[in-house]
Amino acid sequence: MPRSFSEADFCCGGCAAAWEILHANGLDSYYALLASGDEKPVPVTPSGVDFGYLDDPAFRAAQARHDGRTMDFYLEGVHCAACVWLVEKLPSMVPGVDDARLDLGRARATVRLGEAGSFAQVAAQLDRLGYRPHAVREDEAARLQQAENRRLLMRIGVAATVTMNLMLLAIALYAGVAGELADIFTYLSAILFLPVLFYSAVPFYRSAWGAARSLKMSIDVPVVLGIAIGAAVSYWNLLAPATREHVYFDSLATLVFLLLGSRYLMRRAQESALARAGVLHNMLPASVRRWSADAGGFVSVPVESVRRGDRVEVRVGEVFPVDGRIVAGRTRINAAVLTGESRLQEAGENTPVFSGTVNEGAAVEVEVLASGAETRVGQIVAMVEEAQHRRPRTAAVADRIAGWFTLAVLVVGAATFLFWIPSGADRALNHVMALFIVTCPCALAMSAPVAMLVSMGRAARLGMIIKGPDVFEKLAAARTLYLDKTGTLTQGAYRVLRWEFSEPDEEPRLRRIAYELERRSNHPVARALLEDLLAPGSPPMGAPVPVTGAGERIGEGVYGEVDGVCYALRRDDAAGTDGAVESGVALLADERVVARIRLGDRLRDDAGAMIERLREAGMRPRILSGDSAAYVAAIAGQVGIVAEDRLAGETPESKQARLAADAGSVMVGDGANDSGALATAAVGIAVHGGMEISLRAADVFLTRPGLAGIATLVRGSRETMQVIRRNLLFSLVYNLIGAGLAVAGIMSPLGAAVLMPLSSFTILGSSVLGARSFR
Amino acid sequence: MNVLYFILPISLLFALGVIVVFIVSTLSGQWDDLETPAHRMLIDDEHEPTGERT
Amino acid sequence: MSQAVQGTLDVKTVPHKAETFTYDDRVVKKFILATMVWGLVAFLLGVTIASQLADWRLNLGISWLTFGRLRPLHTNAAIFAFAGNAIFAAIYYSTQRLVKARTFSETLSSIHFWGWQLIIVAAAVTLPLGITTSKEYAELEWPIDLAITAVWVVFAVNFFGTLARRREKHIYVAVWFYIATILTVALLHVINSLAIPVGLFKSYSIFGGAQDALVQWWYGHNAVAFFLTTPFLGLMYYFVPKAVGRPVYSYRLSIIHFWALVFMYIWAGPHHLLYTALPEWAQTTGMVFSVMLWAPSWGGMVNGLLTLRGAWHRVRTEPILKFFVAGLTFYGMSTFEGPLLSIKSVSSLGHYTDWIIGHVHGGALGWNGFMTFGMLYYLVPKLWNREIYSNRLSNIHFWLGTLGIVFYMMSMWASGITQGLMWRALDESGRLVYPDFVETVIKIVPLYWVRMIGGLMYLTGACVGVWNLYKTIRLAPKQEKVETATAAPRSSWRPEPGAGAHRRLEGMTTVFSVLTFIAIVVGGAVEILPSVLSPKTFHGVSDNTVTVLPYSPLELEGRDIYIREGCYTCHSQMIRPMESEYLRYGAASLAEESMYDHPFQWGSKRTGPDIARLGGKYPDLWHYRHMEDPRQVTPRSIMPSYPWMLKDELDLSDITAKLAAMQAIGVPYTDADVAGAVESARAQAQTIAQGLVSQGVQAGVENKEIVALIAYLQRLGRDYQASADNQAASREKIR
Repeated sequence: MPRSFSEADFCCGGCAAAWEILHANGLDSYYALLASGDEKPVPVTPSGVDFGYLDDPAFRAAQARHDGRTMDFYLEGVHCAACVWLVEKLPSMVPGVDDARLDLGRARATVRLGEAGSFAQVAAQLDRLGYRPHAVREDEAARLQQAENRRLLMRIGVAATVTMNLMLLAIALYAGVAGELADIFTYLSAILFLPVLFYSAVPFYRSAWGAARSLKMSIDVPVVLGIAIGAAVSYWNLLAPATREHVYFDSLATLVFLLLGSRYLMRRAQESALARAGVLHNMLPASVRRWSADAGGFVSVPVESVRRGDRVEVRVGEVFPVDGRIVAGRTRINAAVLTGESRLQEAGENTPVFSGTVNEGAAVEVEVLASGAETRVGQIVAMVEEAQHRRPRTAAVADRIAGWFTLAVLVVGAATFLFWIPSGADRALNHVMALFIVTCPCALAMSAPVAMLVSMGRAARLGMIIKGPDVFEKLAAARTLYLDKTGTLTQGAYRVLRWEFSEPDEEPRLRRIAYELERRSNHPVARALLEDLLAPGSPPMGAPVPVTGAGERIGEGVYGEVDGVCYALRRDDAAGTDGAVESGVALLADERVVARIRLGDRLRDDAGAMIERLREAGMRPRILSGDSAAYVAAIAGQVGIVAEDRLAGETPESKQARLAADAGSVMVGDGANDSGALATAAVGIAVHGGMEISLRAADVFLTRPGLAGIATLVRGSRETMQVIRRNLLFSLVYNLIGAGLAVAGIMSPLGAAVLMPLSSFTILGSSVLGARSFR
Repeated sequence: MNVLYFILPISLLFALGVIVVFIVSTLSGQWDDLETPAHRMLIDDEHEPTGERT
Repeated sequence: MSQAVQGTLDVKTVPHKAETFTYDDRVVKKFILATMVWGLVAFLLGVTIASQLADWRLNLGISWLTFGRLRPLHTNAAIFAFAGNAIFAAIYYSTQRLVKARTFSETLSSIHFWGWQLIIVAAAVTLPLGITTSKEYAELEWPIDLAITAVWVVFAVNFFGTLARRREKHIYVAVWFYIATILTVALLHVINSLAIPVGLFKSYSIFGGAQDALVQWWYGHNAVAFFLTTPFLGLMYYFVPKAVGRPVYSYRLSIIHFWALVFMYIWAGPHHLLYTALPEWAQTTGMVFSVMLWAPSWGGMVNGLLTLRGAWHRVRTEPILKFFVAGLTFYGMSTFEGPLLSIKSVSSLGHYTDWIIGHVHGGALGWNGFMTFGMLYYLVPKLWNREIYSNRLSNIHFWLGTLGIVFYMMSMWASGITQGLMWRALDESGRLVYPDFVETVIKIVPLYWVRMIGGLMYLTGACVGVWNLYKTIRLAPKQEKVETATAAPRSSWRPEPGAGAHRRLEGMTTVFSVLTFIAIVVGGAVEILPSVLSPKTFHGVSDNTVTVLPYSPLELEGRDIYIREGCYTCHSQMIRPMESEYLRYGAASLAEESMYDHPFQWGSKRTGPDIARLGGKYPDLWHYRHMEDPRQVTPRSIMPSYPWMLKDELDLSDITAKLAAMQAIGVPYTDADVAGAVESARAQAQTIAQGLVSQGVQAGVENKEIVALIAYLQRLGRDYQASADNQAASREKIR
C-alpha cells in the first residue's frame, strides 16, 4: 500500500529528487517496499557526471553487446528488492528503453534500447536515482566462467536424476526383488548409469589425466580409479547370473553426484564473493570534455581518445581524467587518492594535476601530459595487478594432505589387490573398489573448503566481503597489522573540533554570520563548518542577518559585509600545531579576529576499542601513514600505539616495500595510495569507501564503516582454521578405519558407498557449527 | 515379460527428459541468477488507477 | 472500464514498448468466497462425524446421516472443496503476478469455478446417498470423475495459457510447484478412477485386490502430496515472502526442495500398505523413500521460517504471520511424523488406529488450514481494498484454531497408541489380554469426546475468521479496484548470445512440465509394476495358492451394500502377519484372497474389528440382529444401527449387468453365471431367509437387503479356510 510523501519527509534534496522522479512515474510503491523491508530512503546524491560519451558511436561500438543495443552497467548501491524493481522500471522512466534486468548478486544491470534510445539518458536516470552507473564490457573471462558453470550444472543435473532412479531400483533390489523383475531392474541400472559414466564424471577424468601427465597427485585420481574399477566390476558381474547382484551403479552415481555438487557450490560461492567486491570497473571517468576547434567548444569524448597535448575541461567535483597541468583557472585539489593526504592543495596555472585526484575548487582547463596507463594512477593500477600476480597462491590445506593421502591409497590399493588375488580376481577387485570408494577423499577435500565457505558466507552477512578462502589461513597466522591513518583510524574528513570566541556573548550572532558567509562555498572547510553549525545539539545561531557583497576568493576565503562591518573567514595560520588540529580558520571583523575555529580529522569512535581487541588477539598494530610525524604521533597517542609502531611520511611505494619486507603481515587501509600495500600484504583489508582500486588489491572489503569488523575477522579466521583442523582430523581417522576394513575385506563396496556420503555430511555439519564469531 | 517393454522405455525416456531439461534450462540461463528472482517477486507494480477511473 | 485504465495510463510516461494490462481478480475473489463457505461445511461435517464416533446415537438411524456415508463427504469437502478452492485462489492470484500476465481466459476461469462448485455439490448429494466407489478421497462415481477431469483440463489450459503469455522470463519456484500439481493430479485422478460403469451411479474399478490397493494408495498418498502439499508450498513461497516483505531465505534451496519433493513423493505410496499382502520389496521401497522425504520437507519448512529472519517481532503483532508461522510449524511436525509412521515397526503399532487420524489432521488443520487462512487474511484486504475488519478477531481465530488442533492431535495420539497397545497386548501364556475388541473401543471413547471438542474449537475459530473476513468485504468500498501493471512484452526479452537460445527459452515451461510429468509416470510405473506382472511373480507373499472363487451374485450384491454404507471406513479386511492379529482374527491375509475384489476393501482404519475372516464366525441371525442394532449382540458397541437394511427391498435389477461388468474386467464368471445371476441370487436369498425365519425372523426377509449383506459377510475368508495347508503355511510366515 503506497504511502504518500511530501518534500518534508526527506533527509535531503537528493531523496526528494528521487521521490519526484518516482512519483511522476507513479512508482510510489518503492517506498512502501522500503518500509516493509525496514529500510529508510537513502540520501541520493547525483554525481552530476555527464554521460554523453555513452552515446559516442565509437564508445558504444566498443562497449555494447553484439547486438549494439544492449549495454551492461555496474551499479553502485543496489541492495534490495526495491532496487531490482526500480532499475527494471527503466523502460517506463526513460523513453526508448526496451528492457532492463538487474542481477543483484553481481550488481549488474543489462539495458537494451529500442531503435531510438540513449544510454546517456539511461545512465543519467540511474545516477539521479542514486545508483552510480559504470558501463562495463561483458568481458570474455566472465562469459567463459558462466559457460563453465552451466556445463557443470548440466553434469550435476544428469547425475542427480540418474542417481535418484538408481537408488529406487537399488533399494527395491536390496529389499529382495526376485526373479525376472530383479534382472530387469539390474539391467536398467546398468543402462541408466551410462550417462553418469560418460558425461557427468568427465571433469574427474580430465583433472586426473592432467595430474597424471604432470606426474602430480590429485584427489581425483582415486575417484577415477574407484569409478573405473567399480564400473568395470559391475558390468562384468552383470554378465554372469550368479554374480548379478554384485553391481554398484547406485553407489558410483551417488559418489559422482556428491563430488560434483560440492565442487559446484565451491565455485559459485567464490564467484559471488568476488562479484560482490565490485572490482569490475575502473575508477577513472570514462569521458572527458575535450576542446574541439571545429565545434568551437568542449565536447565530451571517451577518455581513451584523449592524446597528449589535448586541452580538457574539468568541472567542480569531477575527477581529473588525465595527468597534466592547469592552463586556465585556479582551484583546490583533493589528492587523497594519491597521497592519502586529506588536506586540500591550492592549484593555479601550471600546477601539475594527476588523474584520480578530485577538483574541488572551480572549473579549470588542463593540458594533457599523460593519459591512460601512463598516468600515475595508471602506474599504480599496473603495480597492483603485478602484485596480485606475484602473490603466492597458497594451496588449500586439504589438497596438500589429500595429495599424499591419495598416493598412499593407491599403494595400499595395489597391495590389497595382490593380497586377495589368490582368493579370486573378482573378490580382490571388490575389496580394492571398496577401498577406493571408502577412501574417496571428498570428505578430506571438503574439510577445508566447506568450512571456509561457511565462514565466507557468514562474514559477507556481517559486511565483510572476502575474496578468497585462503584469507582465513593467512589471517590466522598473521601477527602484525599495519593501519593506514586516513579514513581507517580517522574518519578521513574535515570536522570542526572547537570554536573559540573572543567575545562569548557575541557567539550566536557570529555563528549566524559564519553560516551566511560559508553558505555558498563548497570548500571542504565550509562544508565542515556548515555541518557543525547545523548539527543537532550545536549552540543556536542568532537571527538571520543580511549579507551584502558576499564572495569567495580562491585560496583566501569568503567575505561579506554585514551592516557596515566587513567580515571574512580566512585560513588561520596561527592555528596551533597541537597534534590533532590540522588547520584552523579565523572569523575576522574588519581584519580583527573575533573567532577562531579549529578543524581536523577526528578519530573513529571505535578505533581505541578495536586496537585493544587486536592486542588481545595477539596482534601488533602499527600505523603506516602518509601524514606528518607530528600528526601521526597525535593520532597514535590517542589509541596508545607506541613510538616504534608509528610510521609516518610514507609514500605508496615505501608502504608497499615495508609490507614486502614484513612477510605474512596484514594491511588495513583504503584509497589508491594503499592499494599497492594492500596487494603486497599477506592479507589486505580495505576499509569503507567505494575506492574500487583498493578493492582490486584488497583480499577483504569491509562494507560497513568502523573497524569492529577487523578484530572479528581475525578471531573468526582463527576459529575457521580450528574447524578445518577438526574436519581434517575426523576425515583422516574415518579414512584410516574405512581403509582398514576395506583392506581386511570386511567392508563391502555397498557399505563403503553408504559410509562415504555419511562422512561428507559429518564434515558439513561440523563446518556449519564452526566459526562462532561470524554467526 | 511385458513389464520389460513397459518400464524400460519409460525410464530411459525419463532420464532423457531430465537431461534435456537441464541442458535447455541451464543454456537459457534460468540458473545463472538465483538471487534476484526472490527479490523481484516482492513487488507487483500496481499503479492503482484510482480517481480517474469511472 | 479497463479502457479507462488504459487511457489514464497512456497519459503517463508509459513507454512505447512496455505493455499495460490488468489482472483478473474476479475469479480469485469467487474462489476465496467459496473457500470460506466450503471450509465451514467441511469443519462442520468433521465435528458431526467426530460426535457420531463419541456417541453412536448421533447417527440418528437415518441412512444418509450415518458415519459411513458422511465420513467420505467430510474428507472430500475438506480436501477438494476447502483446500481445493483455496489452491485455485492462490494459483490464479499469484501466477498472474509472478508471470506478469493476465489470466488466459475469463471464460475458462468461470467455467473452472462454476464447474468445480457443481462437482462439490454433486459430491454433497451423491455421497450421503451411498453412491460411492469406496476408494478413499476418490469416492465420487464415474460421471463426476469425468466432470472433474474436464474441469481440470479447463484449469490446465487456462494456467498454461497464462504461462505462455508471460512477460517475466524467469519462472518463479512457486509456479513450478503449481505446474507439478496440475500435471500430477491429472495423472493420479485418471489412473485411479479407471473403472467400468454399471449404470449411471455404479462402477467397478478395473483394478482388483492388491493391484487396486497399490493404485489407490499411490493415488491416496500423492493426493496428499500433490493436492495438499505442493500447491501449498507454492502458496507458501509466494505469500510468506509477500507478507513479510522479504525475499525467501534461500531461493536456491527452494528449487532443490521442489525437485527433491517431486522425485521422492511419488515413490512413497506403499507406506500406507505396510504389513499388508503387498510384496515385501514394494513395502520397503516405499518405506525408505518415505523416510528420505523428511529431508526436503524440512528443508522447505526451514526455508519458509527463516524468511522471517529479522521480522520475528512482527509475528507477535501480525495475525497473517501468526498463521503462516504456525502453519509451517505444523508442516514440519507432520512431515516428521509421516516418515516416522512409515517405519515398519512404528507402523505396526500406529496403522489402523487413530494415530493416523491425528497425523492427518495435524497436516490438514495446521498446515493446509492455517496457510489458507493466512492467505485469506492477506488477500481479502488487498482485493477488496479495505483493511481487515478486526485484528482482534483474527487473533481469536488463530488461538482458537491452534488450541483446537492441539486438543485434536493430543487426543488422537493417546487414543491411537492406547488402542494399538491393547490390540497387541499378550499375557505370559501368549494369549490376548483384550480378546474382546469392544474393550479396546470403550477405553478410547472419552478421547473421542476430547477430539470432538478440539474440532469444535477449530470450527468456532473458523466461524470467527469467516465473520471477520465477511465484515471486511461488506465494509469495502463499492467501487471495485482493478489492479493494473506495466511490463515489457516478452518480445523484448534480450536474446541470449548464440542462435536459437531464445526459442529454447520459450520452451522452458513445456520442458519443465514434461520433466515433472515423466517423473510421475516413472514413479507410477514402478509402483504399479507388480500389478502388471504375472501373478506368479506378483504374489511373492505366499508360497501357496488359494483357490479363490468369484462372489456369488447375491454376495456381490451384498458387497455393494457394504460399499454403499461405507463399512470400509471402520472395518479393515486385511489381517497383518503378526502374532496378535493371528490370535485375534486368524491367519494373515493373502494377496490372492482379494484378487476378485473390484475395488479392494482392505480398508485403512479399524474403528471396528477386521472382518477378513468373518465368514462362518457367527450364525446368520447374529448378523441380522447386529445390523438391526449392534448392541443386541455386542453390548456397548459404538457401531451405528442399520434398521433400513431389514426393511428396504433387495434390488436385483442390475445384478446381471454387474456380473457382466465383472466378467469384462477379468473376473472368471461364465456366461452361464451371468445369465443365471438373478435366479442364483434369489435361490441363495431363499436359503438364508429360511434359516432366519426358522429362528423367528418375520417372513419375507428373502426380499430384503439384509440377506445379501449376510451372504457377503458369511463369505469373507471362506476360500482360505477351504485349504488347511495354507493355514500351516501362513503360520510359518508369522515366525
